[in-house]
Amino acid sequence: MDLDEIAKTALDALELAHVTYGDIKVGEYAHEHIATKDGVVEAMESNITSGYGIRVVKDGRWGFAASNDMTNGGIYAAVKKAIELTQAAKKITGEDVSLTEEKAIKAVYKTPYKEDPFAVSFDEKVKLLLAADEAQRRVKNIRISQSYYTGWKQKKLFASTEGSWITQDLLECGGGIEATAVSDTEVQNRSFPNSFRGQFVTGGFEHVRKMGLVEHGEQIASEAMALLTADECPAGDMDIILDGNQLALQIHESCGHATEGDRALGWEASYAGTTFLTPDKLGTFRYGSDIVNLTADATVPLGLGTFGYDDEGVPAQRKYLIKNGIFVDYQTSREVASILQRRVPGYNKSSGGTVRSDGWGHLPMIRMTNINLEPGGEGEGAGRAWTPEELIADTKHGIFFSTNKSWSIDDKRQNFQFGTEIAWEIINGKLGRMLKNATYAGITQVFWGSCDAICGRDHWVVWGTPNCGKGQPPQLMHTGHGAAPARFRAVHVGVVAKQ
Amino acid sequence: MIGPTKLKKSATIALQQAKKLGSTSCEVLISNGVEEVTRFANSMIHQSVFLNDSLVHVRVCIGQKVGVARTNRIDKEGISDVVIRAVEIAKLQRADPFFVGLPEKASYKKTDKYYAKTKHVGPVGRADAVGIVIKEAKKSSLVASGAFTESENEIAIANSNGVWGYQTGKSASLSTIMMGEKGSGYGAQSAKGGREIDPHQVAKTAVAKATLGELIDVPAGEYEVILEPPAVAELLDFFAWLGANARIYHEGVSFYQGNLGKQFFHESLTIADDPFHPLGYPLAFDYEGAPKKKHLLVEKGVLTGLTYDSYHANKHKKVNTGHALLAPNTWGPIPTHMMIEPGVSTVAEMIRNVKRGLLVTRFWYTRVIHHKQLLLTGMTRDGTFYIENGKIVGRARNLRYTESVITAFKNIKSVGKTAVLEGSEGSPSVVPALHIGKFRFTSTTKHG
Repeated sequence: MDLDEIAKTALDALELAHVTYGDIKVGEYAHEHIATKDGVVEAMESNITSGYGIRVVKDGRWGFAASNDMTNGGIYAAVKKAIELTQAAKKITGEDVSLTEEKAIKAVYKTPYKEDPFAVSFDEKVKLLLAADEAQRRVKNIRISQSYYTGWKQKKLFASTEGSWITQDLLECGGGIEATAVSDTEVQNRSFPNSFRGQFVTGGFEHVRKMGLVEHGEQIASEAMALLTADECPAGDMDIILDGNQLALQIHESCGHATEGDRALGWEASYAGTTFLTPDKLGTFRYGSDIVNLTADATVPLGLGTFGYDDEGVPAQRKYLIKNGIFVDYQTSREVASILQRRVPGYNKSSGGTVRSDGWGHLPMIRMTNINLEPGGEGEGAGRAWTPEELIADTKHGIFFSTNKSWSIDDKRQNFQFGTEIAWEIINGKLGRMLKNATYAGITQVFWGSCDAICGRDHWVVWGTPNCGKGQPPQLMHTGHGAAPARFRAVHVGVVAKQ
Repeated sequence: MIGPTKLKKSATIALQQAKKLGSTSCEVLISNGVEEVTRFANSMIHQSVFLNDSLVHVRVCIGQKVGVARTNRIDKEGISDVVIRAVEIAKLQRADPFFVGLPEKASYKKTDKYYAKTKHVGPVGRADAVGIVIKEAKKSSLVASGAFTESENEIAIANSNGVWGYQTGKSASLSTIMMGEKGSGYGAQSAKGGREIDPHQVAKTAVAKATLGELIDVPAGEYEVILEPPAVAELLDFFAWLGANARIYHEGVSFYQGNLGKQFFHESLTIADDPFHPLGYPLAFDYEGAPKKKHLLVEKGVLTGLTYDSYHANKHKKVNTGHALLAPNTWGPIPTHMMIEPGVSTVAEMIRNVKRGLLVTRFWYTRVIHHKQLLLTGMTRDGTFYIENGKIVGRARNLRYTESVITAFKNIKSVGKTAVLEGSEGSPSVVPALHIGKFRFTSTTKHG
């Protein structure tokens, strides 16, 4: 498959059709996955998909057509279809599409890595997973042992009628383990390094090798067994510390989605909802305490939202969304930035470079890159850099929550409720009894306003979230969230205990 | 559409190639289709998309070693490449002692008649329908958003045991959320073809939901509830995954464990997986070629059946019920055509029988807190109404629920007489409204 030829054919067709703007993303996407359960390799698969998506603006409306038909006839048909969609959309009156001015870019970008996971034999990867699976089963009476590995790579070319021509080779992989203990009334899971199949990075297989999947097998299986007879998480308002892997999802749901510019403009109202962070709040609204600094950073090494250029050809960027607790910017596209420039006095930023689609076949839209809670102790007003031990020692009565189990938030990204696989009570600065079925709930800006301590960079990890859903038809995007353990005061915990 | 003749030829070539390369048995599934979506927001069309794609899935078995590879290239080279990859993986696999073999040849029910009168309306027809929805919204000073989807596909399955199945399908749905000063309202319709969609009715429902009642403070707590079909469908998604699914059952994680054959729910509740329900999207065979048929999961409150694919049926010495998903499936044989048998009540009658409760249009962002208790949490959305003494007296702000589906289904007071096809985060289901005696809400929001 010659990506260049396909892109040239599409651009020629777009020029002949006199579109206002057009681009094509053409690529090949590969994915491999291995899963073991109870010592059996129950999934070993290799998937490859290729095709292209063509975006068109004509007569002030968007049209998008994607196809796996790589022939010239297929490309012409897709261009024709995209234009047909613009004309149908024109039947409804409304504001014409406008885009910010961006430089045309010709570039090549590749994910830095040491070891290509696709070059590591299936046999070697299976051996690693089976060893991790076996380690869990050393714990007596553990009901289910599981281990996972997943790799993704994409080779894609973005070309536009404005002259951009960008080739990118992106490589991602990760893995994890999960032990399940079952009694007559309980089901308890423990995962490592994270739940929902593990930890994922944009990088090479060397990161899977050093995760310590085998080394942690017995520990997580023992914890799962212990949870069966652990005390229920008590109910009440108390101080909580979130481990980095739980805080990552808290950031994802309550900041990441809340600061998507397209949601703020109502574009996702029909599915995922809107956001309480409306444009009138830009620059003034207090989202969190002074030490809360949240960035959208597509440049951070290993982040699952790290790349060279977004799917509009805009360079990867690092931008503050929340600066010292104040809401200062959205994640934006060329179109959203253009609208904000017209609607929000003083807003003069160009695209934030956050537009992606989950393959060649879906419409690129604003998607989280790496939405990070910056480590404590970095930058003016960012507080001190705590260690987890200091945080616990400084907490009189509270709960330490680790590893996400359930997550839910309303359509404006305010009312949330999370559950974790495991928690421990903190009494007089020391970790105490293990707690099961731990939950906490709150309102976004109240919760972040209660953040009074964040651990430093030594404890900061960019956690990968490979299953972020958005859009119609639905897309699953890979995002990252840098986080270190942090403390929040007087949070409502133990919703289940009241059952 | 490519059609059965060409697809059978492609599948046969793939099976022959796999055999030459050393497979002892092989399965080939090919699907192909298009999907178009007209999406609107702020009362204008903002996204219009078209996707044409295919899937070639090959499961190669060498004894009990199983490898799977997929591609979307449907040409000769693409199919050859995917077979080679599947064989290579199978050779590197470990033997699965529980894998016995692929399903045997079977005959399938015809599904063509379900689509005999089905037609789509295309981009212009969808834009016209969206125009009707927007016009109705504007009449009531509401802002409309939503999506109108039309899709068409074909699916073929073949294996080295002689399995051959082919069917086509179509689907369409229009949904809208209308937002006004009081809050938002939801209206939707799913059907086989776009021409069956009535945008006037969808708009009317959403306008009514967005404008009904004045906002009042309804505190968190336990309430009687009437769940309208979209809300019921969301609960049923989780029931399908964590209830009758044989994988979950035999892991000891499902509430079916120890309760099969027992009166478990209210006697008015009957749940089935029905791939041939006239309102649903028919499916003649599962994703490994086993024939589909209606399968009772709950009959008058008694837990009656589990869902199996060939792997779990062999492993646990049970009968395959035809619920395989695409291999390798680590989720288990989840039923995908759920339906609840309608009862006798209208929603209006249910409202009249509520002393103090809530009418819930739909749920949002439902997630599992406790698997075995099927304890879920989520939000109400796009129309939650407070009922007192048999009448809707106000519009509630959205509430968070934290409730066990088991408890809810035990406390059913009545089942709606009209079942409708509902899309949801899982598979579409055919469901009526449910009147439930008590349902726990654990927090509130500031918007309705």
